Amino acid sequence: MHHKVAAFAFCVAAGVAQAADIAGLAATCHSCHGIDGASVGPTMPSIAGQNENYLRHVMIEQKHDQRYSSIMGRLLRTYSDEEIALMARHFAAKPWVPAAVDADMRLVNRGRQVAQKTCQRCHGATGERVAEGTPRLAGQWPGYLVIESMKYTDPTFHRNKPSERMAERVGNLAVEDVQAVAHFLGTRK
Amino acid sequence: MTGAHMNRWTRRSFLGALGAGALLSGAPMVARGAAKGRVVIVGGGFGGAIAARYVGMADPAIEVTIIERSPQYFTCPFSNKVVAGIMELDALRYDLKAHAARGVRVAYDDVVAIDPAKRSVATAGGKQFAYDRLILAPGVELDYAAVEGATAGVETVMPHAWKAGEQTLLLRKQIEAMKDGGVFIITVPRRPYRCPPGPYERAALAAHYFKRHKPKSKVIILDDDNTMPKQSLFLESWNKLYPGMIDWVTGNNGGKMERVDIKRRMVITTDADFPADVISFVPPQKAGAIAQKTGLTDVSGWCPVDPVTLESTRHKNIHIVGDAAFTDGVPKSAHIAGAMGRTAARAVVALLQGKTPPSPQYVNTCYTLAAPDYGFSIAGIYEPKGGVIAMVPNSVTVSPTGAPEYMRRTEAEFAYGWLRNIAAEAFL
Repeated sequence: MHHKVAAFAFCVAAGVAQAADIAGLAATCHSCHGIDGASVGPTMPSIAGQNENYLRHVMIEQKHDQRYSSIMGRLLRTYSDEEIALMARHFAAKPWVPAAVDADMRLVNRGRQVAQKTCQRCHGATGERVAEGTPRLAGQWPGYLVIESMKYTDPTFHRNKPSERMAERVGNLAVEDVQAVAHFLGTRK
Repeated sequence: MTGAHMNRWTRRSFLGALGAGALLSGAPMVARGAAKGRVVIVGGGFGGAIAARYVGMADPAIEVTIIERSPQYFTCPFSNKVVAGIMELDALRYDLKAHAARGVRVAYDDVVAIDPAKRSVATAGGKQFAYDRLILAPGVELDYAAVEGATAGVETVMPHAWKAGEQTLLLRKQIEAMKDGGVFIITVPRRPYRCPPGPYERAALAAHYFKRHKPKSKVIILDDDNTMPKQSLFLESWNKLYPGMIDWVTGNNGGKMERVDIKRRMVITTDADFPADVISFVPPQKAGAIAQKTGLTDVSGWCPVDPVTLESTRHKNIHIVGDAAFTDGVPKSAHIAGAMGRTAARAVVALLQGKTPPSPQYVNTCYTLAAPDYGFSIAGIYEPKGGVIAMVPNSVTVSPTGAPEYMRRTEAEFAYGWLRNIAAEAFL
């Protein structure tokens, strides 16, 4: 992974001349992920302002079918890893726009408790923490957070779990807890 | 139309009526037009509205006008859910107010003539709109003349519901009034037509309604063709969700429609008469009437375009986006219409700035619902190659068959997220 990152850094530097093309390429993402990657669709993740490393890592896993996605992996398979890296950089540089969700205090309170026990150590108290491979969760769409979490809890999902640590922590949560914690994180800013 | 728009347009029509708009409409407007250009967009659906959005984002100094017939727009995507009674039409309603608020000139009017030589558009309301570049997004014309028996008013008896709105509600009403044990027919016209998987999705969602409310009913698909998009996924879903309920009659097996009989409520194919209680008669299609009238179509009935700029190969300075464009294998989807809108916008802005238009990629994404919690998709990428818009090798893929419930359910959820984002891109 580390030498891969270094290779990307090199390619990104070499790819500055392609910046205009990348903007055009990135615009092909808008219809699903929102203009500049700021989603307004309750199940579609915002990618604007998301952790660049995470975006790139996830897209490359999706491209190689190492991580289940509905459409992303299928669309990405004709793009080079360099193009993917440039798209990750492009969207990461956009401002994060928190999801427009009205907070339901009953769900928020239940979700906060779940988050303290389950998520806080890696993702921070409100899902705000961004680290090497850790995505921002605060303000992400709850509908999407539920879909992603259900990869660890839905008995009909048989594919590889994207993250072992998530499988350990989230795998035993009740559906109601998944929904509550997604709501709590999604209504943070 | 809101008061603010009315004022703007009252002013413009006043100037237009003087017949001296260029002289009198104020030096600032002329100067701005001369410096940055005027883009007129005909048609405010996904293609036209998204084009307007991206012209504005790329160069706010360009004057953008959208001419659209209707002050409200209902998305075709998800309208089959309305037909099946599991969504309300109002949830699909959008308009161009956000465009107007950003400074786009919005005229609710019907375009009656385009003069490519004078670069001018005339409307039924008696206005003239001069352009440097025209983006034409007229959608499809339903070609009733191509089907014997499809006389005036056929759509009030056999709703096409292929343009969302009143027609969608009429079809829903007919399905709701149908007796248990009745027959519902949907016809699939010859290709190409708007939304290739749409008829089969309609069959599935109608079956979803019948299964719950009128379980002895049947759905018959009369198909011009012998294959369907996402075929294995549709067949799998029908077998699983609605066993024995949907009959798919292919073209080779007598599905090819020859005429309709409105009085007897019947579709007559090459092989047999198909009477039904409710018929959604979706006729063959071609580019919207104004494109034909302007000489922008070829023998196919669609508008040939340059694959990089979407400029008509028939008339300069007119770019065709959306379903009306002739694009060979590229599906006529909302997603592609949006991709074309962005492409035309970038091309037009580049050309007005004296730059070379960038080569585009047209990405398609299309979700289908076989039930409210059962979705699947097709996706593909197309780009200019050899003078046409060609499929990028190995880029067109569908959801897997045999997929677990998690995947079908979440694809249905992603479909809704997609709708909200593309509608916001176009209208918000």
